[in-house]
Parts: sequence; structure tokens; C-alpha cells
Amino acid sequence: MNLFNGGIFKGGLFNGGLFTRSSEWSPLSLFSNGEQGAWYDPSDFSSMFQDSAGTTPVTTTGQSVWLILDKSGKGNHATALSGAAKPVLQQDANGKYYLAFDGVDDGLISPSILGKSASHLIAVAYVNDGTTTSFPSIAEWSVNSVGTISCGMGVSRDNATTQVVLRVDNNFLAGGASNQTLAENAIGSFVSGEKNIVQVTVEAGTNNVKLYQEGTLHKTRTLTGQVDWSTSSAPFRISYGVFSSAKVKIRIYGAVLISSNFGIASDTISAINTYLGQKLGN
Amino acid sequence: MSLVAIIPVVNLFSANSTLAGQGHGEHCFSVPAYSNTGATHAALHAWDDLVFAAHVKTIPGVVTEESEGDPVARTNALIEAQGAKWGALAPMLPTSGTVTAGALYQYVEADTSITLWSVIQSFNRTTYSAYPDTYPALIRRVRVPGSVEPWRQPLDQYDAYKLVNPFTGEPDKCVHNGQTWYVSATDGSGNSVWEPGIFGWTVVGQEPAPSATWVDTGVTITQLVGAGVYQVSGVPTLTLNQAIRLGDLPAGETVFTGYWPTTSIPSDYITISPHVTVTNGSKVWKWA
Repeated sequence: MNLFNGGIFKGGLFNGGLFTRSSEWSPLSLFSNGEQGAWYDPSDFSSMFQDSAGTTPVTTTGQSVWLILDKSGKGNHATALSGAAKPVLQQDANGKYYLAFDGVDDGLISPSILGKSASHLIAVAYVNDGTTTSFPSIAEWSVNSVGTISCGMGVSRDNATTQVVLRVDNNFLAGGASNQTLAENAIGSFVSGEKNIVQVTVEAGTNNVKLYQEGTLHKTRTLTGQVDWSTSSAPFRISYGVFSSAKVKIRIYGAVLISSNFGIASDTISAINTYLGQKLGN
Repeated sequence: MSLVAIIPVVNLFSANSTLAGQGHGEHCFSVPAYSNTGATHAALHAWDDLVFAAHVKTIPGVVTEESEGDPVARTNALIEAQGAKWGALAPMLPTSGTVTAGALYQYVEADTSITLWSVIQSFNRTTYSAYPDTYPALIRRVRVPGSVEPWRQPLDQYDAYKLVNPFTGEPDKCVHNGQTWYVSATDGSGNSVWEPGIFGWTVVGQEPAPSATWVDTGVTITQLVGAGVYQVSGVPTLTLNQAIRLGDLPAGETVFTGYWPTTSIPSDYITISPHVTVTNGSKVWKWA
């Protein structure tokens, strides 16, 4: 546990915590100690481009986004799967910006991101946008190797239960045990217009996988095998899963992936939840 | 206003290549639509993009629709208008009740991945409730483009494994006898209906070493100096005792025996054995 740079003082009570926890706090502070990952912010027009080369900026709503820059400083910029698969920037009734994914073919994918040894976190703020296909992925850090589906971690919609589920697969783990999928029925129904902030964490030591909704722990499961992912790499995917090719019709207000050699600071979950809540208009 | 478009699989590779060449990226048509045996069409949806829409509309065989409605509903309507089905919208295979011939279902495998199944003849799931592959006369699995699944005997052109899958641009893969294979040889139409190990499949990771071939050295014959010695248009890079060919015919095949006047010092004179006679201007090839 890195108390000072990744913990209480930098991301916690003082810099991101009680005293300065405001709209000034951003996930950037979570990437200052060698962490890997990505941070996508559709409210930042300077981070989005209409072309894959990044030469035509997004200037207004209604424009499609082919490239969204990673604001973590790690360079893991995400691109649309093709020119037909670009989400479109929109603004909701509360003035909040989001990327609208069509549920047909839209998806974003980063380059492969090499993991770290101790903890991993995915956070995503979204609004379900009505009709959706089955088992689509909302956000995943995952890879699909030849002959074997290897999913790191992610959240998707379970068609049968119409609930959000988390997926963690030990196939992804370096030296991990047998394939282990945790398809856990979890948080509330995936109904149209419902706002959600979901976070999934995987931590070494305890091997616990935790699913949070709106900053509140909803489920804890324990993985067998190790969760040192320092030799595993996979892209961070939005609306683009490896368990199912189905896409999700959804509005994404922000997404963060963090992989760290340290534990997750006690207030990181709430800090991210507060930040994404502002993006979502909570 | 957004665009929904669909194209027959036979036009897919060309369509995606055309759109890629126009700067729209790879695999624009990416959503497979199915008949009872396999993918027959590919669809796309694009938000308001006038240039992209204009390019899509010029593609041979494409059917398009532009409106403001729900992309999912409109894509599904266009797919169904072609007599196909969208796998992602197929219902889950029920555990009871009657399933009807021609219907497409999704099924959650043990590893929670999703597979597609087509009902061959109507049957009661209450009676036939085991894993669907248990009843090959009643229901069969439909391959999803790009998926790596156990090999099964193809039924027709749509079901055949492809040397170049139009959705992925890569050879189809399968799992068979505990190994992962990819299509490496097919009939004249790029289709494989043979069992892995019999013909046309290669195990992933066991590719044969690249075979040697005739490589242009970039020089040509300029004059015959004497039997077994030619002057060439430049200094070729050759290895002692390397097979070479003077000209384009097998009759010109011989062996490079060294440079002239000093065997090991590259020059624009080559010695060969046996001597072969070719005309000036003939290319010098090497076997490499």
C-alpha cells in the first residue's frame, strides 16, 4: 500500500479527499505512481476527434467520435472499430455530454495495456438507452486469444436477468488457475434511462473481486489463482466485448481503467464515484 | 438522420475494401445476419456522416435506409427485409416449450460465451432438454464469423469455412482433435468443406517453414564473356553454390560458382556451372 502517492494523501483525504474533493479532483491523480490504464472524458472536446488520425477535432454535438484521447497521460487513446462504428457526441437535458453508442456496431478500443501486479479497477458512468441486444459488454479490459476467450474483467448486461453482471476470467491471469468466470447477477435492472456508476475492482492479497454501484459495495467474490497481471496485456474496450459480439445501446459519460502495483486507496472508489457523478449529473 | 445499410456476404469483402480505400477504416460492414446455415449478409449503422453515407450508397448490392429512428430497430428491420436474422437479437433457447423450424436462438455456454443455434425441425425443449448439440437432427449450431469453435461438416457455401472470411479478412479457424486449425487451402471458390487433417487445414503454430522461391537479383545479362562467364548489369548479391536462373525459363537454371576474376569478391562478372546460354537482357534470378 502506497500511503502517500496512491493513498490517503494524494488520492485521499487531502488532495482528493475531504479538503479538496470538488469538481477540481480528477482521475489524473490516480496515475501518478506508475499506474497503467486509461481515462476517457466525453465532456472534454479537446480530447475527441472525428477522424482516426486526430486531425479533425470534435467541435459540437452530433459529430461522431473516431478517436478519444486518454487523459491519464498513459497514451492509451481509444479508437472506433471502423468509420461506421463511431459513437456520436451528444448532450443530455441537464447539459451533460456523453457518447451515444448505437447498439449495432459502435465500439471503442484502446491499444493493449500491460497490467500491474496488485490491483485493477474499471469505472464507468452510463445511462442505458433503451433497446439493447443480448449480453453486450459495457466496458471490459479483456483479450480474446486464439481458441480461448480470455476476459480480464468487465461489466456487461445479462439478457436473461436484465441485470448488470461482472465478468472476471482467470484465463487472463499470468500463471492463473483454471478458467474462472464470475458472472454475478448484480445491480439493478438495466432499464431505459437509468443512470449508473459501476466500478469493478480486483485486488491482490485478498484476491477479491468487488462490484460497486454508485460507490457502494454491492458484491464481493474471491478469485482462485493470482491476480498479478503484470505480464498480461489487453485492450480497454467500451461497448465491445469478447464474450459476446453484441453491442450495447448506451450513453457513456466517462470511463476509467487503472492497474496498479499498489492497493486501492480507501477513498478511491468514492472519489471516482463523485467525479463520475458530476459527469453524469447526479 | 443516420444510415442503416446491408449487403450480401458475397459482396462484403469488396464493399469493405472499397470503404477502407475511401478512408473509412476496416470492416465497416461488421454485423452478421444469418440464414439457417450461416451468415448471409452484413449490416452497419452509422450516425450522421454525409460523406460516409454517400460512399456506402454507391456500393453494388447495398440496401440502405436513412431516418431518425432507433438504430437497433431499424437495423433489425432491414436485416429481416432481406430474409435474414440478426443473431444478437435472437432469443435465448428456451428450456421448455416448442421451438419452431427455422428459428434462430442464442445459447449460453458453460464458459458464459454466447453461441447461435438454428432449429432444423420443430421440437419440444421439455422433451429434448439437454445440450442442443445432443440433437443434431433437430438443431444445429450456426457459426459466428471470427469465432473459433469445434469443427463441423459444412452444409453449403454459407456454412463452408473460408480461406478469407469476408467479415474478418482472415482464414476461418476451428478446434478439432484438440488443436486449433486455420484454413490454408480451399476449392476454387475459397471454400473449405474438408475435415482438418484431411486437406486444407494447418494447425496454428505449426506452419511449414516458408519455401524458397526464385527471387529477382535486380541485374540482367549484358554480355557473354566466355563459357561459364557472364557480365551482368550490376553487382548481384549471391552466395557461392547458390542455384540461379538466367532468364525466365527452367532451361536457364544453373549454379553460381563465384564472381570473376576473384571468386569471393563481388563484381559484375559471374561464373556459372554448368554453362547455360541466354540472350542479353535476361534477368538473373536466385533461389532463396
